[in-house]
Amino acid sequence: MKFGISFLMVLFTAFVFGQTGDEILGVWEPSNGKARVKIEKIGTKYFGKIVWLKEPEDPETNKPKVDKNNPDPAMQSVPLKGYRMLKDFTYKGKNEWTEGTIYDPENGNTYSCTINMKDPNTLDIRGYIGISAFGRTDVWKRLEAPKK
Amino acid sequence: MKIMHSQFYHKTLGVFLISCLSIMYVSCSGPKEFVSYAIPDTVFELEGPLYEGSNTVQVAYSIDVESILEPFGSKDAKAIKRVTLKTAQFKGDFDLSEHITSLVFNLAAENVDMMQIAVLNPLPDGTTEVQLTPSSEAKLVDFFHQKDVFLVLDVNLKHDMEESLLLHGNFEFEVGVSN
Repeated sequence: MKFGISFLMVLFTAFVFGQTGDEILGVWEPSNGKARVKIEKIGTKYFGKIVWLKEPEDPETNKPKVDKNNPDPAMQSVPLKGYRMLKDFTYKGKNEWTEGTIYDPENGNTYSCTINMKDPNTLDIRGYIGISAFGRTDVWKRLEAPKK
Repeated sequence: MKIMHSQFYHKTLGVFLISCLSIMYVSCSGPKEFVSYAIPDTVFELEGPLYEGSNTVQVAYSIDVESILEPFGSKDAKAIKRVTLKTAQFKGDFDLSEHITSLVFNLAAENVDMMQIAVLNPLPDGTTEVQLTPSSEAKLVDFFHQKDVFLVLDVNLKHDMEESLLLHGNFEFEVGVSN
């Protein structure tokens, strides 16, 4: 019993203190299951782009969905598949990535955002306007890489 | 006494308003001259194997701010007041539309938020060279104050590919300078 608790404590300590920020890299699924987002690193910052959509085609046009709500008309033809919806996150330590933004392609709005890794397979994504207290948190789950 | 007080009040108000307008004019004055800045023949290599969908390639690049400012006798990057992308061209030695559905070009830097600055979706059939449509609203001046930036290209592939993919990018910016 004692060994078990000690082992769990070692695992927890390793999880909390052995972080570099790159633990967030990988493919994640928001709670609504409508998309999958691949988080990658550019320079020293973290970005997430849509790599899979449950409904990839726009029912109005029968063509692949594009960013039709983008306030910049010249950029409304950017495909949603491949769209970078998480931008410019920096790792602050203690499993927290901050100073980023999240884009909601359904309404064309961008929100401030923080990411908290609760465990290696779970992210709390909090989008907000102005103050973090006035926001909404979504839970994202990591997708395991298919075994070959 | 009352009239003198009123005159003093109006004079002070006048000086205050003129000062405010002068400060606004100086701080809001746009660029006085425009120059062209080119980033020629930048190689974007996507290493295979590649998968259907969006693949990203990034190239680190240092903006030659000195060469932009030299004709104006300035060394301060803050003299650059406005930057817009005029052209973004990509070339390959193959039919681009055979493998690629769309291209999105972005700029990123340590202290500036990433920005989408040009797109082409879909690619026209049977061509080895394409011109992307530049964003009409992207304000790029902060990137030119940074010097070191990342040129980030998102390549949407039609299908999986075993081999690598090589594209050459040519970009032209219009830079507004005020010294």
